[in-house]
Amino acid sequence: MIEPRRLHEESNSDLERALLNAGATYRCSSSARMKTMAALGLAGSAALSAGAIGVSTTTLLAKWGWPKLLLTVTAIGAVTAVPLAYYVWHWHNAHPADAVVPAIVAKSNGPTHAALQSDNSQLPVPTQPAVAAAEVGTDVKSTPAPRVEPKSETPTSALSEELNALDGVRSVLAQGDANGALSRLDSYNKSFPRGRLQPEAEVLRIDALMKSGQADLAKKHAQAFLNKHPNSVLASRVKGLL
Amino acid sequence: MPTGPAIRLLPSPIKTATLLKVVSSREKDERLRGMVDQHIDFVARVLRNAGTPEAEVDDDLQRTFITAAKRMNDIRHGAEKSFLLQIALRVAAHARRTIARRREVQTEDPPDLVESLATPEQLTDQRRARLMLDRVLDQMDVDLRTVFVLHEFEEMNMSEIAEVLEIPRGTVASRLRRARLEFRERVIALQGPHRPR
Repeated sequence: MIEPRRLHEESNSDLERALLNAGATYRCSSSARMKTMAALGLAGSAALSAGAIGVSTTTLLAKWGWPKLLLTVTAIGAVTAVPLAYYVWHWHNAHPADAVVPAIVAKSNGPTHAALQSDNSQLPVPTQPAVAAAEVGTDVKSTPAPRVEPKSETPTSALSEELNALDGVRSVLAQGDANGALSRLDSYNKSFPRGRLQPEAEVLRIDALMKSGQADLAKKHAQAFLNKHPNSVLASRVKGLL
Repeated sequence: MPTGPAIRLLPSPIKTATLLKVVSSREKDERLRGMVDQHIDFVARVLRNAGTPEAEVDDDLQRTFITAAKRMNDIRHGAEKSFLLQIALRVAAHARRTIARRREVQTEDPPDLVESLATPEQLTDQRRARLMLDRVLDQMDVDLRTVFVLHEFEEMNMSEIAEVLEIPRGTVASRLRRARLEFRERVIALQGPHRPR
């Protein structure tokens, strides 16, 4: 059975390619990454560095070694070059009937999944897709490359501080100091009254209350949490704590 | 024989058990952290393309990884990605069903976000492309959609897809053929009758 080529390789429709590119280049936001780490109880310096500012060179070097790192740098270069090349090519070849034919260019940073079982070769090239638009007959118009992840506009530093605070709570709680954890949670609430990780903080509070022997209060908090967030992924964790 | 001193250095059985437990817990955390680092974009993309709405991707990401964390002992080393994929497909299926139920209780159809973006002339950014893609994928049969997403966006070959979905390779080929045909027809339909390609 012959393996078919990918549609984006054989399509001659700009619209098809634009849609395929949109599907292939989707990335989760840095805040989603950090929240996932927090939900798993893995929030720490590694999560912050990888989630907020990208994986550090040192970490990458340790993880991949020089060859892969150099390959990644090359790939990033290619990613920036391909949209520009496409822009120039498209501007010269656009048909007059296509007054404005934008092309969301090249699935250059699409995933490479040669094998499901071994994914160590996958290089996470953190780039945004570029958009080029050519207008024939009038001025060449280009739109600035849009951000795929508007959610990541939240100040990462604030989220990082929240994560650090909760990481401290978790650490104290793990050492058996439930009252210390509650005290830290009070500080967290004062510092971040509208914190994005309030639900995670509330789950930690319920846990700490249980461990400090305040089961009734813990149950009150748990019930309030479940009423407020009945469909939250943390709901099952709260039920498990009681 | 150097075995004598080595034996004397061994801790008591209780301490060994505690130590092993701590090491095992740390190893699990490290493994989980590695899974998030390596696969979170992949999982997010599968969720999104398989039908999780943008606003719910964060929650579904957590659902997927929390489920994986609970079943760490069942995940074979080297098979983390396919395990996450199977969970993500189930989570996305749940998200689709939730959307379908919401639509059933709505008294009127939601405003058609894509209608005003129907021509490529107006397709000026990635955001609009994403909306149009959602429209096309949402109209696809779910079985066709899954195969299409894995092949076109995740670049999985037919054997890999067959293995993950536990269906014959021939079925994958047939679904992929139909899915691509549907995709192209729906994209043409988006452009309107005045723009045949």
